[in-house]
This record gives sequence, structure tokens and C-alpha cells, in this order.
Amino acid sequence: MSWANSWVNLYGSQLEGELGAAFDRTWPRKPVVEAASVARQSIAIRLESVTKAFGTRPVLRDLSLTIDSGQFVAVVGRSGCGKTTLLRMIAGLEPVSAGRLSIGDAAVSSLRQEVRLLFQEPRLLPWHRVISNVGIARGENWRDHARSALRDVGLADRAEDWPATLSGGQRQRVALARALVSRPKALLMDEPFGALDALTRTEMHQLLIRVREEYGFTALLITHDVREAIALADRVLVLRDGTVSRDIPIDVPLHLRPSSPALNHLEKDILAEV
Amino acid sequence: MGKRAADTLIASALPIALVVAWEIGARVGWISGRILPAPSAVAVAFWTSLQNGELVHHTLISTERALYGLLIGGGLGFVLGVINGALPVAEKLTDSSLQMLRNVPHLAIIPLVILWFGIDESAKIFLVSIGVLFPIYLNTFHGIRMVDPGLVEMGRVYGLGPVALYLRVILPGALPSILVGLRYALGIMWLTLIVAETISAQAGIGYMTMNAREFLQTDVVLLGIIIYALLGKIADMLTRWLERRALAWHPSFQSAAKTVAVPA
Repeated sequence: MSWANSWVNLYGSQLEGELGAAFDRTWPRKPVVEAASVARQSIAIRLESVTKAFGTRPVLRDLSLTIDSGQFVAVVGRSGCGKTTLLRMIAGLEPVSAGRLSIGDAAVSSLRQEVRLLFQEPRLLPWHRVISNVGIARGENWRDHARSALRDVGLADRAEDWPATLSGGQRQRVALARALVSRPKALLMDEPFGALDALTRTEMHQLLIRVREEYGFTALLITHDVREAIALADRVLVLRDGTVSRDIPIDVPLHLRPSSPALNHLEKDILAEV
Repeated sequence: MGKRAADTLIASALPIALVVAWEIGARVGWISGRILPAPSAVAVAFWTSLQNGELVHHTLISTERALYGLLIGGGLGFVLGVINGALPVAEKLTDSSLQMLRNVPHLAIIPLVILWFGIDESAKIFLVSIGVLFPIYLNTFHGIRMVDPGLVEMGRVYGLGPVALYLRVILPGALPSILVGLRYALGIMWLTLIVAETISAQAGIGYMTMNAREFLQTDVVLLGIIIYALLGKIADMLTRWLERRALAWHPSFQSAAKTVAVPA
């Protein structure tokens, strides 16, 4: 599939495939400003001179960065540049070696429930049915919440199936529903679409754009796919040698991005740098 | 006739032919009744001992010993496996000792067990317990260690406390391995019991066969052997059924209908 074609598929109105039905109500897409049934909520992420080292090997060096509340930031970089470490630190899975990392007003010291993480692999529990995977944290009325999250990712009819019976893309959608079910203020994504085929990945991009409009969370996407970063994010960071080498805002509206020669040029530019 | 029925027929042809040949051989006199009584003689012995209640009596006593041993030894093995799988300190403390004990053939300690417990029930239950402890311990421990760390991390990220993490992620993940340990343990359970009952007992299948040997009742000896085989088979079928139920999520236990697994 060529570059231009995939964009037509992504933003064209003749969308087909598994997600078609789920999108009918909201397609063609228009900016959703009014609040959904539940309040859209987001939170800012701030790094001040953050350094991270494993033993004596520095991975991130003196990194300062502010992700505004509700912003969608994509981090690109070659493997081993520290982008996954950055994400795991923000998630509270790795402590910072030096500097200050805060989410909202509080310094990150451990796992936080308003921050959700989408892993590279779906990481579903194979011994729980889809709905029990989505509602893994249980809590009050978890079945209703899980069902509604599954509806949001277009998998309401698979609630009672075993994860083993789903395709790779469907599993990642279940994982997305599991992240959404608690209405997170920030969603951290560690190359969640890397293992999917091109068509499924495009569908997942649309799904992500749609749920973000509905939920309004701050999003941080780690990816090695520059095109994916440009297609989805408000801002692209290039991570190189443990520090941000470029910080590029992308102001082109989402639906105009496929035909934008400037972005096409930018992609080549970033690829050359990474 | 369906393909399955045909398959069953083919599979059972050889055993049936053997039994028929054996019966004929015994009737004609090629095989001495003292060495190998005819299948019909064994059937008669079965019927007689069933009617006078001896068979049920001995089978129940043997089964009771087996289950007590399984409960005690298996329970201990399971608890040790869970603790050592969860706490590295506990593993360091006990695992090498357990591995050392595991290498002692448990039947070799029979003389010692008789010295300790005499020849009453506790000796047999102790032997069975020791026999089943290690397969259950090893497979529980191994199963817990082999749980995908990614799933454990996911559980932590999604807010599961230690208890929920254990019950919903770690134990279910270890369950296939634990059940393999259970099946293995059941085999050892019957084997140990046979040996223990043969050496010294006042009741049980082993006692029944040894008693029959004294009176040269080869048919009853044969019957005892068949009962042991049946008990072993029943135990195995029960665990298979348990596996199918408990591992319904596992792709290899799902029926073909509606569940074509798609590789991720």
C-alpha cells in the first residue's frame, strides 16, 4: 500500500472493515468539544532535568519536558534510545535516578491509577474471558463499565469469548478497552501497534483518535514509526542519545495531514535524523 | 458405521483377540490354571468377592489410604511450591534441601518407616504422602516461576493487590503445570500404595492379593492387579476431566467450533 493510499483509507469516507460499524455514528469525524456523558479529564506530565541510568550506563540524560494536559505527544527514536525507559518511568515502573518527574501536582513515586499503560503486547489473561480482562480491576459495577468500554472499541459482541479466539488487532483493542475502563487522565502507549499488520494498524489509529476525542486523556505514544507519530500526535519528539534532539509541533488538522506536502517533507526530515 | 466407531473397533481388536486366545488356551490346558487362570475364572473371582463384600471392603480401605496420603503430601507440596515460588528467601532456605530429599527413592525408606510407625495405617499414609509431595511441589513451584512476568507487571499496573494478583494472575498461570504434577502424583500414589500394602497390611487390595497368594488363588491375585489398574485409570480420567474444566481457556482444550485460534 502506498503512502497516499493508506491516507485515503485512513480518512476517506468509504471506510470498511471490522471497525466500520463502530464508526458510523461519528463519521465523518468532526471536532468534539462538548463533554461526553462522563467528563473528559486529562493531566499534565512534567519532567525536570530527569536522568536515568542502569548501573553506570546512562539511558536518559538531563531531560526536561512538559506535556500539557490533554496533549498528544509522540516520541520517536531508534531502539535503545531510551524511549521505553522514559515511558516506564512516567508510569511509575522505574524510579528516576535524578531530577523531578511529576504528574499533575504530585511527584511520581509509584503506580498511579489515573495513568494507564498500553503495552507492546496485549497482555490479556488467557484464563479470563474478554469482559473479565477489561474489568480486571473489578470495583463497583465493573461489568457495566467493562461493557461500555468494549462498545467504545467496537468489541461489545465478544465480551464472553476467550482471548485466545481473538485476532491480534482485536486483542490489542481489548487491551485498549481495559486501559479506558477506569477513565484514565493519561494514557501511555509503548509501541502498541508495532506487531500489527498495516491495515489493522490503520484501523487502530482511527480507533485511538476516536476514543481520545471521547475520553480526552493526555496521550504519550512511543513509536519507531515516524508516519504513525505524525498521523496521530499534536507534537513529535525525537529522542536521541538519551535526550530530546527535536521537538516539533504539528498544527495541521488531523484530516488534512494525508495531503500535506509539508508533513510529507517533515517525515523524511525526521527519518534522516533518527 | 461412523469413523469413530470403526477406530474404536480397530483399537480394541488386539486386546479382545488376546483375551479370547488366553481363554481358549486355559480351557484347552495349554496354560496352567496356577500360573494364569482363565479370564472367566477371574470374572468368577470378581463376582464372588463382590458378593461377599470383600472386594468393596478392601477397595474402600485402599482408596482411603491413597486419598489421605494425597491430601497430606499433595497439600504440603502445594503449599511449599506456592511459598517458594513467591518468596525468593523461602526458596533459598528450603529448595536445595527439598531437591536433596527428592533424590532419595521413597520406597527405599520402607524399613525405616516400619521402624518408625510399625505396620499400621500411618506407615502407608506416610509413604504415599512422601511419594506425592515432590511431583506436586516441583510442578507448582515451576508453574509459578514460569508465569509470564509481563502478565504480572500488567496486573500490578492495573491496580491488583498482592492477593488478587496471586489468585487471578499467578495461580491460574501455574495451574496447567500444577495439574500435570497432580496426574504424575496420582500414578506414584497407587504405585506406593501397592508396594506398602503388599509388605504389610491387614486389609486393602494389596492384602487381598498377598493373602490369595498364600492360598494359591491366582485368580484373586489377578483380580487385585486388575483392580489396581482400574483405580489408576479412574484417577487419571478424573484429572483429565478436571483439566478440561479448569483449563477451558487454554487453546488446546477448546473444541474446534467457533474457536479457531488466531496467532497474535
